[in-house]
Amino acid sequence: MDRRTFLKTVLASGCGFCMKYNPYANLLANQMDTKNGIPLEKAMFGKKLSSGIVQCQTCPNNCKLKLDQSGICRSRHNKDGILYTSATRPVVALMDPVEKAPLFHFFPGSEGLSVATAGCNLYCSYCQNYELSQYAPEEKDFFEFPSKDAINTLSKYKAKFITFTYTEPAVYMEFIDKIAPAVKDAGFKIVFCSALYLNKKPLDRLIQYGDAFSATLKGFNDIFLKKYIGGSLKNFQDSLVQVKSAGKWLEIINLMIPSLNDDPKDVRKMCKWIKNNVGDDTPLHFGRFTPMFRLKNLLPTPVKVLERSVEIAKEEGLKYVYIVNYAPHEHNHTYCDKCNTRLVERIGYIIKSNIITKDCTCPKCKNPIPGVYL
Amino acid sequence: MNRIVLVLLITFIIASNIFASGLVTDNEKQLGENCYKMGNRISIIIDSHRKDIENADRVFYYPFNQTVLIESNNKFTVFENNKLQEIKFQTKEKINDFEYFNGKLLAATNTGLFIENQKILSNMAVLALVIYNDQLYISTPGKIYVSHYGENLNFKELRKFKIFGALLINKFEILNNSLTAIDDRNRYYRIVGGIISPIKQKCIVKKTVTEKKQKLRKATSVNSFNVMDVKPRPTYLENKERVNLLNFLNGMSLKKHQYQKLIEIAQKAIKIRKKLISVIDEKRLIATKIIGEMYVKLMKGYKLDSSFLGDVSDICGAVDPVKHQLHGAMCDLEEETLTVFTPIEKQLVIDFVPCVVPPLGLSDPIRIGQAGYSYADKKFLDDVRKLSQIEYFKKKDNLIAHVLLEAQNEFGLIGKETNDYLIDKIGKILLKCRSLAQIDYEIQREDMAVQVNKENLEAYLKNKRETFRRKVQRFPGKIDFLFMSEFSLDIYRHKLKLLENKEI
Repeated sequence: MDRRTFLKTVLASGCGFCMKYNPYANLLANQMDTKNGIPLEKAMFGKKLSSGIVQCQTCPNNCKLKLDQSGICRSRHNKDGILYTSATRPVVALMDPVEKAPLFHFFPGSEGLSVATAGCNLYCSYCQNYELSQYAPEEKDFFEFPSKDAINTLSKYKAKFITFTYTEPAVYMEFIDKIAPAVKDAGFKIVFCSALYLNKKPLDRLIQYGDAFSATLKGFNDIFLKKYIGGSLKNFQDSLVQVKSAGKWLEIINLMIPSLNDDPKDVRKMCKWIKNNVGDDTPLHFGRFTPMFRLKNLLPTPVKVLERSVEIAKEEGLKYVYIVNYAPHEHNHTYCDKCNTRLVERIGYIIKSNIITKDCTCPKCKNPIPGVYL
Repeated sequence: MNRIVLVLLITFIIASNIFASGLVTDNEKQLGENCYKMGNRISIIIDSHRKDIENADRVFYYPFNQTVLIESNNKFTVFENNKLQEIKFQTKEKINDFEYFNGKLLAATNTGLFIENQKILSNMAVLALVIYNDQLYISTPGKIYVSHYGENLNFKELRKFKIFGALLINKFEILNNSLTAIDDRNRYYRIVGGIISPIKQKCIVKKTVTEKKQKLRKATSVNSFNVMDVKPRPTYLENKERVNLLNFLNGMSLKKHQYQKLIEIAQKAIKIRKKLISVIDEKRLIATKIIGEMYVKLMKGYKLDSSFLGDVSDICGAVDPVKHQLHGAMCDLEEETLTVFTPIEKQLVIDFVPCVVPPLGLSDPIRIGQAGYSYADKKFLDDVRKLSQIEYFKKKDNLIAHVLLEAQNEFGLIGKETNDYLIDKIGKILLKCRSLAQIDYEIQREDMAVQVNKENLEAYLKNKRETFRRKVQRFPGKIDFLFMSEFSLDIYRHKLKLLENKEI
């Protein structure tokens, strides 16, 4: 053995010894529970498969993760054969009007606190929050937000509800699980803005907390959903039915993207399905698309296309159909489905007038207006 | 070596000829050539079909293969064989106004490639690509091809084949013997030798200097292109304002009594304007006459009487009080107009920025479910917040200067008064951003970012200019222009009629 090899061997064995009997070993192990500063927590709905592989069963993606792999949502990781989540802290908090959800039959004109973490289980090519959704939580600046702070903030800003929005709430189920029970106990409502791309069990958990759901039905064409969204129609449909049958308030939004999901035949099919499976009193919002993210080459949706879709929906028997992301327009308002009286007048997110009675009826014909108003 | 290259070249040419002849018929080839030839004489064609273009709903000009596509009454027409020929869709359905929006014009090729099912079928010139009912209609000289759009062909594919977007040309004009196109955004393009090149906005702004400079420029360069010769037609401006007002009223859903009162005010305004403008014109005529006489007398070497000078100053000065009277009256009527609206509507009137394209949201431009915008400004605030106290006080002046510099780059030099105001305002925002608790900062960051960002500064500067103008010159404002003009009266009457009909 020459001098160089001897020195190398001594150094290597010394390092090995230090690693094994390091007094700060415990501290190092704790630091492993963070990812770029964001604390990792054990994730729900993880299933151990053979040879260290873990399956995340939160959403229909059902990602099978090998050691140190992350899921499609970028927030669920396999560490030492256990499923961890890094979506434990919010990255954004804003005060938003309920009309921005959009929920038009749920405390019109009220404001709520919107929070979200980074990461999403879908990759919508037109995502308007892609700077949040298409990043991992550890890539964004986050902040501490315990349930105590949530309640204090809600009361300080006179908010009626907390909304889990901007990215897919399914991704930060653990965060919701910490905040939601305390907020609910304090008397505030809970709203979810989601595509509802979840498996049955996790959705049941959201339903347990939620008072209202603003669900995005991205389209009614499997090819489009696969190519531009990363989901399948059946899953979206099942979730919508599950929420409605649980008796929670549900409003559906469909963003119309020119030449991709604005085919009148698809719109008609979608309206028929909504009427038969979710009910004709479920409000449907047609949203105007604005070029974003990967679909910047497209044009904004022509208003005529939105108007045509509204007409189709009404022909199919849906009672409350709206146009959103385009104001002012006559279809921004809520009308009585019986006598056509204008009940709630809106300009953008501003409520100009609201004449729905305390019994949630039309003042003219006493027709009950579905929704949560008091 | 040279021989090998030569042989290879010859083989390539022969092979390409065989390939081409297999795909294109002679007739098509000739038509294609005609199309290109025609393209060189685009200005002549436009001249001979000026009426068709003027009466069209929209005109698309393809700079790459130099063809013109005209859309009028939902019919698409292209120039073929020096004639206007209609594109007939291979469908029995009629294209009505409702369905038209489903169809949209895509682009034309620069290379003249014709594509179907992702394969190049022909090297014909493509005149137009129209998507209608999920079918891609490709118009080539003498033929219409249909391809299924959506599954086989998408924008990416189109891009692969070097297909570029078309310009939406509102009108063509011959200016200084060269053809100029004006697009839907009022941008000017010069078309010389079949090449279309945009004329920069800056050049147009620069040319809005005094007449003297313009004359000088004309004298120095005879053939120079003078954009200022082009003035938008009055009808266009008027139509633009009509659309502005209609956009606004459509969203406001005013009541019958409100329209009635608006009609009254508009009528009053028109009457006052007519009366006072006629007085101003009369006085102006007299003043110019007297000044003319004065000039002649001075040229002849006369000395002017003090009484004469007094008359001039009286008459010339008399114009201003009438002007002031007019503007004063208009301002009073503006205030009266505002009383017609409810407090929310009033705020919307004040905030409303006239625009031809309907706004996304009158009150809030953020779309549903959107977390916000102006990420750059948010990041700026985040950085400020992360600084330690010592670092902040060191960099504070630089940070404020950075924002001011951006504002100056955007709006030009800022006066001292505005500068001081902004330093104070931005300083306060930065201090607030540092002092807030984390969650409060998260919630208020959006507003603070908006306050800092350029749009806000622009709005602030605009406001400042407007209030200044109002105070000093009593210049009629947005409300006078939009709500009390003759066209507004027509629109109110029309709206009122609609309301009355609905009631019946």
